[in-house]
Amino acid sequence: MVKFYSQSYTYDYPFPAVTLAYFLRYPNPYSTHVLSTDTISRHFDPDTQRLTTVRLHLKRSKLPAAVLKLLPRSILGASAGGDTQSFILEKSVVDIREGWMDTESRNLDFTGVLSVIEKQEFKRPAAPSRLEDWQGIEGATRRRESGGFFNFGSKSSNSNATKESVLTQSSTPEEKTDVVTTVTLHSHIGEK
Amino acid sequence: MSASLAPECNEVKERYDNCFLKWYSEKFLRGTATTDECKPLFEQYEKCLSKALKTRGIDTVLKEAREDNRENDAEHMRPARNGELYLLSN
Repeated sequence: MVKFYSQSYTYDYPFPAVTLAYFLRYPNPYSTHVLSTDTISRHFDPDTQRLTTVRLHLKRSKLPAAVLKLLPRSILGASAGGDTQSFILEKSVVDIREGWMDTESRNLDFTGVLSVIEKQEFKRPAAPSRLEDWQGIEGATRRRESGGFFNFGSKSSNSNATKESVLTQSSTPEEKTDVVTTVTLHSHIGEK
Repeated sequence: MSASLAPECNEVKERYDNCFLKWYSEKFLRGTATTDECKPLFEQYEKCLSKALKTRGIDTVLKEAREDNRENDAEHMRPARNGELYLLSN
């Protein structure tokens, strides 16, 4: 049985920042279940300016009661409460010249029961080529600069709101990153 | 910085991670990188980690998983991006 999900999103951050954040996403206060992250291999190709990384994450997970009933704990290595640990293998390729990052994460344990593959494609949006687009960016840059000076040292309560709106106004394609996430769930239960 | 699955490798991992993040943000992201400057530190870290993976029996699981993926990797590493969603067409 295969189930497939796909989702598109645009981050309001430039491509390089998004790729850096990807490598720095653990540890964070919202993902305390991720216990460790190790880099297994890393390769930089100077000709293509491409970086390939393989990492291994260890995460704590709680198995659903229904699964616990089906599978003997001795096999799963789970404690009485169903707490168990599982490894996630993550591979990523960043091409800084072409402006894309492809990632793929998959579980290493229980793959006979369920395998989950998450792929993400990050892309730097194409640079504007038309004259009016460039003029738009110029204007936006000016607006942001003046906004920055205006807000400097200001403690007024709407200062953040101002900054937010200035940032929104000045947002150009170079300051955004598109991402497509696809998740494939594959269960081997019931297969011959 | 994230922890290593092997606590005994934390120190050497942190040294490598710091080096990598500096190289990544100051050289790679600017398109000025010519070599992987942190390779010597990575080799030290890898030495510690591979020992830990072996004692914990994770090395074989990893090897199998990565061999399974070789075909996948070839697809992933293809020279140019044409923008289509190859996964959707499968």
